[in-house]
Amino acid sequence: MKSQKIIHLIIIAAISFFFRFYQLSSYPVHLSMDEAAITYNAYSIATTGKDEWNEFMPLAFKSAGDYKPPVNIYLTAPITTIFGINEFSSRFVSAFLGSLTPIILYLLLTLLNFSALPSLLTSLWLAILPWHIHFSRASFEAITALFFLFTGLYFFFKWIKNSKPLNLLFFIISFSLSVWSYHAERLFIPLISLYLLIANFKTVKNHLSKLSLKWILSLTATFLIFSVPFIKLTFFTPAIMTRAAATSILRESSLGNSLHSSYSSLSQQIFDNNTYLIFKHWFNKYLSYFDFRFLFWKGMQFTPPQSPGIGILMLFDIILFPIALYQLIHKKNKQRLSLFIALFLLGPFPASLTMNNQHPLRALTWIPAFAFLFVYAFEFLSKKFKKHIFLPVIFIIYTISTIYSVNIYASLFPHYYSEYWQYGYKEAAQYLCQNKDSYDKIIVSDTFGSDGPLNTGLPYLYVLMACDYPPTLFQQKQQTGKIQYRRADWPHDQFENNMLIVASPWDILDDNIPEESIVKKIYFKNGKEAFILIETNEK
Amino acid sequence: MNKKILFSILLILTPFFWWNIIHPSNIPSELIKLPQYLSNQKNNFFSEERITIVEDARWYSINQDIGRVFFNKLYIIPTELFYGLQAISPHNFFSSAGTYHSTPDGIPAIPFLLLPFSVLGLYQLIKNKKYLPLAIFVLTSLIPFLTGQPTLYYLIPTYLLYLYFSYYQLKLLSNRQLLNFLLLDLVYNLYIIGRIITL
Repeated sequence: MKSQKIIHLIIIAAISFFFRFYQLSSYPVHLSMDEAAITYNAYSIATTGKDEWNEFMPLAFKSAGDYKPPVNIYLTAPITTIFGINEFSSRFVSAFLGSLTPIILYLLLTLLNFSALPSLLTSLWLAILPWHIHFSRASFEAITALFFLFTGLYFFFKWIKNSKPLNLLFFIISFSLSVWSYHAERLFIPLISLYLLIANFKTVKNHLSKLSLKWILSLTATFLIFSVPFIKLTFFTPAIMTRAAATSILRESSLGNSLHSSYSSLSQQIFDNNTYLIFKHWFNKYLSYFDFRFLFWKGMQFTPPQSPGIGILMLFDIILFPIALYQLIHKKNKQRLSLFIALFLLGPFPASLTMNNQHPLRALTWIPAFAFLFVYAFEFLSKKFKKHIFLPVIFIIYTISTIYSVNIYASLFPHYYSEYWQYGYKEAAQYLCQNKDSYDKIIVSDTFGSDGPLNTGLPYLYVLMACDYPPTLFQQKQQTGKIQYRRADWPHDQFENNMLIVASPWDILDDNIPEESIVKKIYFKNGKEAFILIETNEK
Repeated sequence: MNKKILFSILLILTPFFWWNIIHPSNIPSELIKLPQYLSNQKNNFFSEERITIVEDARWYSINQDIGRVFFNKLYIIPTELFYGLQAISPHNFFSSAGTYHSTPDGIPAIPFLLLPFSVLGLYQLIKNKKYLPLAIFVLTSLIPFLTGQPTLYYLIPTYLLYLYFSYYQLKLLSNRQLLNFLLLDLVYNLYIIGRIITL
């Protein structure tokens, strides 16, 4: 690689790291429940080798009402010993692997014989893509899984090219780690592996036939090490099926209400059967991912539905899209075309099988398809126009796009949605940790948000983090001393002796709280009340 | 098979077509409202409600100057254009039900069976450098932009273009393959009719 290209790649890496690490603790505005769960479990593993439920080195972490994939937690464990249990530690792994992903993408594209400049520009595209940046900045396992997905693709094509078994080994490890990292990849990886196998069948067969017995045994052992525990978790524990059931489209009320437990007539069984209804619902959801507005204008859900926002791709990409398609079709490289089609059609497939419409996090498996598409557009533009014209134009467009995205991400997103990141729990937890010795009893409400009283959080996770609560103590009883978690009940609680109540406004809606009892109020970023800290009189 | 006959069969085998043949007053009664819709969209294009939403975004921007550059009256134009693009997305024709009774309850305008052929037809058109249908297709997004109506009644050109894309690929099939596909399409339509009658 020429030194100039290395310098360009270093610049892109620097941009990638900058957008993912700058003020990492402050944006997103608060640790989500999942991030808090990952961090405390990582800390617990690092210090005791056990999770919060006292289980030794689990392969699925039961926490925050879910079974969490283990990769992010084990990778975060050593980070908590270096930086402590805080936002930075929590988000470090995703931010770091997310920053490296554009570099892996560059290596992958050059391996697939794309020239250096288009590959660099596609790498830059990913480095500044708000869709990827946002999820890299919070501890989202999907980013880790995507990193291993790209790494796996890189090693697969390297193996196809040079037949070295070490590349095949790294491919198996990368794809396995991707499956172990996030739920969507549990479906996506087997499907894309099947495609890679079919599309490269002759070469794969040829390379495999040349493997020595030693390598065959090593590769099989590696595959089994990753797959056997996974199969065990899937079929003999609730860890994987629980998650699948909890997020399945079957749980959506719009579908669930129309399904029949038994059919009342033959005509109903034929014309309104459940298979048809489920297929129709899924297909509707799947196609909704191909909506231009979602792709280019309003897909990231940083702001309320009618407010200005950003798509999962950048607005400029709408110009790249037709150019890239034209190039892809006219290049007459059937292998590349089929790879794109596979990535493009399979990308939103896992997300379409789950609840919620147009879910950008679950659709992250779609990024390789777009990266693979846009490299064609950059290839075309770099050939068609002179560099001194084309590069400054790209630079200006991306700068404007970035300023627009940063404005929405750093300003509008916290304003509109701080409460969806459980904003306020940390401040409340910090207060009660500092003052816990002054009270006989502390109640923390698990109700939060301004939408209604039915949203519940897991405040104990924030207390564990803020108080640096020793995992050995928590593992025994899953309690945090005198701090209890339930909704405040002022008519009764007011008679308690020397008690601190962290209440949501919904808990005390109709109660007349004396002003002197209120010790602190915490507000969401939009100015609405998040929590009210009330103390009962000492009697 | 004769090209015109093939396109006509495809047209007949779409729920949007036969539903509106059975209910012939639907399309005229909706299209007659066009002047009213155009006038409403013109009068409400920069409505206070829309401007307030944009001004809100400006107010909460990181910096007022940046906010002013991005979030001003002009922001409404691309927003509405994207509503237009959303309306011509395949989702609106192949999977979701039409609004204002333009299709039978819960039934998409075009059978989902035609979607792969539409995509492949589009591929063939690009491959053969025939861009006019594509250009018209994109331009049809201006209809909802101008009328404020994403209903299928106003998107009949888009609907016909999706059929044309499918036709463009289907005509490449052998007579036997084509016949098999049309039979399948017919069965799907009969199933839909069965659904409407029994439910």
